[in-house]
Amino acid sequence: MPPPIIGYCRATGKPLTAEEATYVDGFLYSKEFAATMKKEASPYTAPDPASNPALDASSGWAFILGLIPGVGAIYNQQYAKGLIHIVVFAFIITALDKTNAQAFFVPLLIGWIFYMPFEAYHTARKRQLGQPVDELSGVLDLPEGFKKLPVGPVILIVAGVLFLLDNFGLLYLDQFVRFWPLLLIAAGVLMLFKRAQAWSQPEDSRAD
Amino acid sequence: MTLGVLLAIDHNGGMRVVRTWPILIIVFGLLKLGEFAVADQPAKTSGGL
Repeated sequence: MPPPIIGYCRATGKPLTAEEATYVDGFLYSKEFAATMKKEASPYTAPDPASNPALDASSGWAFILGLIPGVGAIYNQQYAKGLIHIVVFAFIITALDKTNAQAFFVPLLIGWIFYMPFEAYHTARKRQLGQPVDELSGVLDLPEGFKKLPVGPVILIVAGVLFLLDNFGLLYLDQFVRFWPLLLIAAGVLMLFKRAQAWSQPEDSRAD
Repeated sequence: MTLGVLLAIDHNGGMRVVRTWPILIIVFGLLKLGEFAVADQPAKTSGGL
């Protein structure tokens, strides 16, 4: 009996068995096509280490400034990440003020306060060593195995948990719904950043 | 199955479905995640679904 078809390659439309399929950025591709995608240089990827000159950023200062939401990331010239740090911090503080789920949000706040300076410290160290650092490294810098994680199922699970907490009175989503325009602002900043990053690449890598 | 379990709990005086329905979304997300995991397994272990 032939193996069952589980889907179709997003690029070529070829029917795929479980053996032939793979996910790239949450989309289904044939392993064959995915291999060719990796070979093509993306205009959105960080430059090679050799072309990333070492900076004299102080990791100590990065750590200290990282205690202030967003400032450590801004010190490391990561403005979109700085904005994300500020938005997450504001979200946690608002949640602490408006909900009864202190048991969840207090450890989250403590973890976030510790995360920001350490993240800024490691980013500054990478910059000192001339290693490539993309804008959202640390925020979305998942291990290689997790990079292929499909976004859709994760969003479904997170949404389900949030609705469940809301239904049981542990979280009041309506308090956060009023802040939905922040999502538009964040999306706009990310798009702007990606566009700026694409234009900052050398002319020959933008040719296609 | 999940819907059946939630309705059974509701009908037997437990938690109401109007409160537990997000479990359906969570289970669906977990199933999709499992589907992804199966599809992404190395060839030698993916003889079928």
